[in-house]
Amino acid sequence: MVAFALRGLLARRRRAGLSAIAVTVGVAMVAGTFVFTDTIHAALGRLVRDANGGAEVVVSGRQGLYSATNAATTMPSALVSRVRRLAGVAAAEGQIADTATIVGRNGRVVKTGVLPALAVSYVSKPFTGTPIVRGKPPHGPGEVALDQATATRAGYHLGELVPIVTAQPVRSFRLVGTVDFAGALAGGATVAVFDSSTAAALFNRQQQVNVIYVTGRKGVAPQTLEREIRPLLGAGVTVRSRASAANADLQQLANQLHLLTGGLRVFGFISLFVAAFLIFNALSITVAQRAHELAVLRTLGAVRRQLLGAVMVEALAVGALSSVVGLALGLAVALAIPAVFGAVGVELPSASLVLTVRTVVVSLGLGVLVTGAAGLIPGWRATRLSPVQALRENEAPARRSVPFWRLIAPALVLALVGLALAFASPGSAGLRLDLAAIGAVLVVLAGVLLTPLAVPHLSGLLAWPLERRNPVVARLARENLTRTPARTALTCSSLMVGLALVLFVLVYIGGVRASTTKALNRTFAADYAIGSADGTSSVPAASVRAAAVVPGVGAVSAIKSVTADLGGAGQTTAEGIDPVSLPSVYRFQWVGTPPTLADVGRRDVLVERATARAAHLHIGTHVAVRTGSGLSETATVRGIYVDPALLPGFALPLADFDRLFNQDRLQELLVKVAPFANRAATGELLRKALRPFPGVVVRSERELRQIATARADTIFVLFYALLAISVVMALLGTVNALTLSIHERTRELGTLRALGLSRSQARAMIRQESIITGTLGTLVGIGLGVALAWIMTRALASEGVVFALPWGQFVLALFAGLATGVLAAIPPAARAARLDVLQAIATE
Amino acid sequence: MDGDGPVVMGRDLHKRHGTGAAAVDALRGVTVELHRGSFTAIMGPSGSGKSTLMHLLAGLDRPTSGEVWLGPTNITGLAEDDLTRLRRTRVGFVFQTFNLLPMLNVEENVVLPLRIAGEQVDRQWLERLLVAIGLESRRAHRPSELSGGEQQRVALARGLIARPTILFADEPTGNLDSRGTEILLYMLRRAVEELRQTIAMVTHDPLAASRADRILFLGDGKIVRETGALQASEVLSVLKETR
Repeated sequence: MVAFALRGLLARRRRAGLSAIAVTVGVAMVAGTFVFTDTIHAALGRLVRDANGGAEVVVSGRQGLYSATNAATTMPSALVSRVRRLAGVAAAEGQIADTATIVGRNGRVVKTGVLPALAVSYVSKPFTGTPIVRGKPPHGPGEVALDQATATRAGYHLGELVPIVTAQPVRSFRLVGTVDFAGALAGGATVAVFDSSTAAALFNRQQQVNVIYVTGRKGVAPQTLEREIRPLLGAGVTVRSRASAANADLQQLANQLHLLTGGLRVFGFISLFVAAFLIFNALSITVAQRAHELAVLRTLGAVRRQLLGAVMVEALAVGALSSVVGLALGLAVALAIPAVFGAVGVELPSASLVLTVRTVVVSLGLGVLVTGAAGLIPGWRATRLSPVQALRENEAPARRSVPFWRLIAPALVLALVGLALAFASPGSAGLRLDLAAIGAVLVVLAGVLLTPLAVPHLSGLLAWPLERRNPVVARLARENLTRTPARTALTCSSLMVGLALVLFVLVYIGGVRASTTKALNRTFAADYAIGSADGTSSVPAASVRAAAVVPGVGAVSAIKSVTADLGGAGQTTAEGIDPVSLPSVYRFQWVGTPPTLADVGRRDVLVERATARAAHLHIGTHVAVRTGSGLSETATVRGIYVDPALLPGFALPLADFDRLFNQDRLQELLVKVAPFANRAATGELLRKALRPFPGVVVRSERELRQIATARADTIFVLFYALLAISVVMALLGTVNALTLSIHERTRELGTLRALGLSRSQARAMIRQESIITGTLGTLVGIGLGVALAWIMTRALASEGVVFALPWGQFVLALFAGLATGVLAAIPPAARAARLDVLQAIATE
Repeated sequence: MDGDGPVVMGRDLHKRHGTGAAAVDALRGVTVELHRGSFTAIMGPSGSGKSTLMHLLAGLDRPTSGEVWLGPTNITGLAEDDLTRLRRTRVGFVFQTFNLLPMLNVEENVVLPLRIAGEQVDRQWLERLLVAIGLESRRAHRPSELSGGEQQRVALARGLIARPTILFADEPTGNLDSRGTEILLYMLRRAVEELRQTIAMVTHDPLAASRADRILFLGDGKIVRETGALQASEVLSVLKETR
């Protein structure tokens, strides 16, 4: 039977090819995202290992060095000498770590994408965290060393001057050496190395260090070192072995990429899910087309299990083969991901590809599993064929009513379970999102089950305009579609599911965007916002002084930002605000009783609504504020406001913020132009004043809103790729199903032709069937997508995500569906027109 | 099997399709016995129930009431898969539309029933059948490379490969030209004489029926006439009488 199944597969290479393409694409997407993620992690792993080079134990703040928003924990330099004096210590050296933006030859900032732009002080032997590979170590206030990859990328040679923004305005440093900082990492972090006294001056860290590298004397175990050092350390500082310090750093870096890698993975799974529908579709058709053949096998003594086996072998063979090809293509996808993101302006790290056993197992496993699962129902249906069918003549399927309760009951159960899951609100936001996602998938499946019920009505409606123009042909097309609603539904299922998922994502992103703009409209009372160009790095504090002295500037209010935890509800953002100056540039949207801002002081916090919900906070609640370095303090909630855009998380007065957190830099600087001054002119002056801070930009409210929109648009672009994939898959599925329907109706078509239906009319009939099917799939897909998005935005309403429909994308999807219909009709219509009338009539 | 008793027996077979007002009685009490080495033709106009009778005797379909015995086994109450397994060894088929699998060659088509059953192929028996149907030199050809007559001979060899208790032929000459029909009927006859193969053949064709030892005429779901061997012209006149 296995041989028989495989022979059958070979005989139907083209049809199998369609399914194979679908699986290949799906597996390639999954494998690609895995390889990409692993590659990045491997590169980052090298980065953090190299940074700790030569040390046996590392003393640092708990939160590590690689946060884009949080400054590293500081320790007094005196601690280095005290560590050095310990009995077991052979050598110890302190290092300053911060961020510094490198300006390229073109005057633009060298982009770092999602990784930080690092600045560290040079460490000497035996520590190899800053290994000079060319030139010499930086020495004195005017010298810098860059990592090899950044120097190459920005085009700087030894001896040239490199403008760098540190905590000070931009200054040029002479490039005297390059370090091999995880050499393979390109397009990721940038690293600038200064000598330690220069670093201290640039970052205001006199007598301070951020990390201490330690090696022990011969025969002293790292554990002994840790034990010796630990009593010397203050709060928020910890001593770890080199490996566990590297691990913690890696974790922190990986977390910054989590949103991206997670999103890519979802992308991959969606492709595979859509592929599953196509396989299901293709196999169902194969089974239907081979009903006669399978029935013959039954009469020859094949038991049901053998037929199921034959169909499954076919499915699994296609699955295995195309999974292998997909895995190989996945490597290409992993290479392409940074290029695609680069094209839309997001730099991602790239390095030599890492293919792990996990990737191979998961990709191949998923590919085979998905095809297997998709093959089960057609396989089961094959076993239901009665052998008598082999002896009967092959007739076109008669009009069959949909088994109402057999479809509706399971669909309703699925939908109800799905909705129940989606609206269950367990405490954790993460779990709520997962449940909503599972619920959403169930609702889609319910929608797929129910589609056959809508087919007769919808196709009647859609055929109406066509019928007015071409009554006979359109009528025939409509009858063909409505006589087997289940098959028609199946034909458009891959288009439907693909569109539903894509639209869901679009609606969701649209919701996030709308919530941002809405918040901005309500709260932004300033004329200009000064922030970093890339939105992730921060603004040197020195820029406040530069902005405040610009003539025409009325009020200036600075906002600082770090990641922190409030009430144990997970990582969120703490904003430092100035309660006195903020009201002149910002309108709080209070929920409940508004506090008197002037009275908000020490140990008081204002909480954004989403965070308040997640941590179950109310006005007057006492709550623990925990810093990234592990310090904790109790504060009182004084007010709850809505603003997911400018002040997400929670806010506290700057005085308190500075006491708790170690953050010199600003997140945002809001500027109000004085009543008598000219707004545009003041804006120009501001821009001029901030020229010494490349990477810092001045934006009007309109520009601010555009940025939020533009960022969402970048994501839209990526999802058009997904739309394209699902349309291609849908195209294959529709061609497949239409071809079968032509095949089944050979005699009927022949009769129609004999009765005078012309070739072009036959073609038109098939085309109209195809167009109606495509439109049907699109409409149901849009409906399902909107329903899904509604479910998910409900689950995320507390995060400030609103339900907003992207009409432009709907129109686009509708066109994509129509185009699918038109294109998919070409091969089967040609086939129908080619039919030899006499032969077709004689066909049995 | 003792050789003299019936190898296939249908007792008071009724078959009703559909329910209520739309119900159609395809068979209304047919009792029939087929003995070893006999060649029986089943004739009758369309809708007389001849195909239904064959489906019931072959275990492809189940009677509304009555019993079917295949050799010593009452198959009426058997589970689907048990029945299928029984069919593998006891029943062979030849169809009007040949029903060869297009992706398999001649030899593979012939041995397919054994492959499905997971049984060893008796090479000698296979060779004898291939020689008998005159296609031993074209065993590697695909069905599409054969004429209709040749395809039906492959189907005949396939029907005989498992040495079935009974071979059912459903309008085996319906799609053949006169020469193809002549050759096939000759081969069916040889199978009866040389192998003592029991054959039941549903046919419209008086010429085909004239090769049988016994002819059952069906009308309206009942056996209306039963005769011994007849000439083709005699078959025609009986058909006219019973209409």
